[in-house]
Amino acid sequence: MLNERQMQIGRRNFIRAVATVPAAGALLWRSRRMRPVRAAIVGSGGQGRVLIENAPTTHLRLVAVCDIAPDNLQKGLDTVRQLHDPEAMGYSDYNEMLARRDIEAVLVATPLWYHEPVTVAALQARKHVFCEKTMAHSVEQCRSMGEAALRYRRNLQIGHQRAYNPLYREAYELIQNGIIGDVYHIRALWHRNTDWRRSVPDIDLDPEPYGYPTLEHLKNWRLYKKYSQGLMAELGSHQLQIVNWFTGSKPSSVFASGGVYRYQDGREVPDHVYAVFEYPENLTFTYSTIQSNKQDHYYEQIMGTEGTILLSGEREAYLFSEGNKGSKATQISVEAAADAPVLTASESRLRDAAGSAVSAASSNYNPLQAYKDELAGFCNTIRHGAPNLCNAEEGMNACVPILRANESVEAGRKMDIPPQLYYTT
Amino acid sequence: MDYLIRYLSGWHQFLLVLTRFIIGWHLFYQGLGKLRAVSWSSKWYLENARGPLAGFFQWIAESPWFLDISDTLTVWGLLIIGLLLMLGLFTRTAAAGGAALLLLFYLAAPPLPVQGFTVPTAQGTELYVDKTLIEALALLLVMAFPTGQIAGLDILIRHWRKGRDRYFTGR
Repeated sequence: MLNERQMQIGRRNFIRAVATVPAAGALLWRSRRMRPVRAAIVGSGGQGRVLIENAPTTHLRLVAVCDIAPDNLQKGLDTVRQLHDPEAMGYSDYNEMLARRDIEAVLVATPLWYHEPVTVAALQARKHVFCEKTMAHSVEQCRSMGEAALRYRRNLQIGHQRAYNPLYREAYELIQNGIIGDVYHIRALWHRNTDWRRSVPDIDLDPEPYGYPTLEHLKNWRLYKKYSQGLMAELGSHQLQIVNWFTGSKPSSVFASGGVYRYQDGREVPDHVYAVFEYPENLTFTYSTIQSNKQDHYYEQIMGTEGTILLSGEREAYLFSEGNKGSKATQISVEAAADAPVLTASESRLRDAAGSAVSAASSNYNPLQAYKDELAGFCNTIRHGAPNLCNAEEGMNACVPILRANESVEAGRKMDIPPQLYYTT
Repeated sequence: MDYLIRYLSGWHQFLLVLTRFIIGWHLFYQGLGKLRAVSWSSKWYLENARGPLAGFFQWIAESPWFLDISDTLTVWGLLIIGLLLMLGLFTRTAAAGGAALLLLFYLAAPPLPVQGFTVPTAQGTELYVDKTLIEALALLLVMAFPTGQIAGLDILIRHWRKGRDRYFTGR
């Protein structure tokens, strides 16, 4: 038997022996939350590779790639192995990939109609999900994604990257501070002069089991209604998300018209769409997206009673005064545009047209930076609980009016957007 | 307890253990960073070696086999030595190993004058002595004292060796 003193010394020695263990443990535990999120990507086509190339590897490390098309898979895998993980694995079955326990998060960049199945399966496998915009192909799909995120308690972010663009955040602050007064009208557009068609490569794949009758349908999925919601989804949802964010609201009705005007090549989605979104707070958002002229390219213009903010091409921001209030000039960005004659031309054209411009600033901000920032934000939410700036609710608010606009084009009449169509928990 | 410790005040003991611990963490996390990096290799570092031993380091960089060993030893050496230093396990061996590793790092890129002039680097302007050398010397200092016996798993090792009874009685 040990006497009191002997036990005392033994215990004291033991405490001294393990004294540094808690400190080492605490440092290690803390550092766990600073390691990159291990992620996989489903869909390594054009947009998928934009994400692969721009994902900040300090925050996000891609370790697996999935695509049904062998050409996309190979290209995606090559880039991932070069930039992220030399030992990254390739998959053609996303369920097989999701079974991997070491993967914490999944980036979804599939054709629109497949966002929901992949996102829900990933959430079910307890992965965090970054899903490219637009959120989904139907209201039901949106709802199913939002519910899955809640049920499995994982982070779901929708890829509207403007939410992470500092120019837009600055513009939002200016509007909130009343710099341009009260806003009753917002105008935006995205004009292109391209046919949106992709060449169909000769690859060894039977697309039928995946729901595409031919390879043409797979590669040009954006042109077919079964897979795509057309220009409004691919382009318009970005800009609608901005309007929702800036107004803190969402449309209550939409009227839209359009059709396949130019490219009678068998495509199903319109190549010209014009839409009027009504917001409940006496505010109307007018929008057009066309494929026959690119003069205006793309911008969002917020028109207030005291001034106008113009956000162009995701890299320039202008503030115009209405002229009667004087000294409210505020520079949105201080850096001068360094490149591209297009920028110079549009700058002078806008200045000339407006005449009363009090401040025009463009920036060296590279729109690709927004992808880095949104993916860094996604990882910050996962690791440190930072706010998700484009969650399921934001994503759905930007998606539902788009879907209704397309319904309006088909029906040829104004469509209500009742509140119950939006995100409800 | 080692006889040396009797002559050290609590403050001395604390500083020695703290020095050992933070160097341990520094080495460990460097190893972890290299392990996690997209594609870390000592190749670049070795190829750009300076100083009297530059030829030797460049020779390692040229041989895929030696380069592989160099990479593995660096990453796992840093991880294991760092962990042992933090925990105070095999402390003196770990400190010697760590100092050797750090001296190699130092020798691969000592801050020597270039064409008779010192060159400012990201670490500032240094001549002959840089922080890596100081860290190596600090580890040698740690090695000179039985810090694992002050606070560390070495205490358990010692008692193991003396037999379970002795451990429980503390004699």
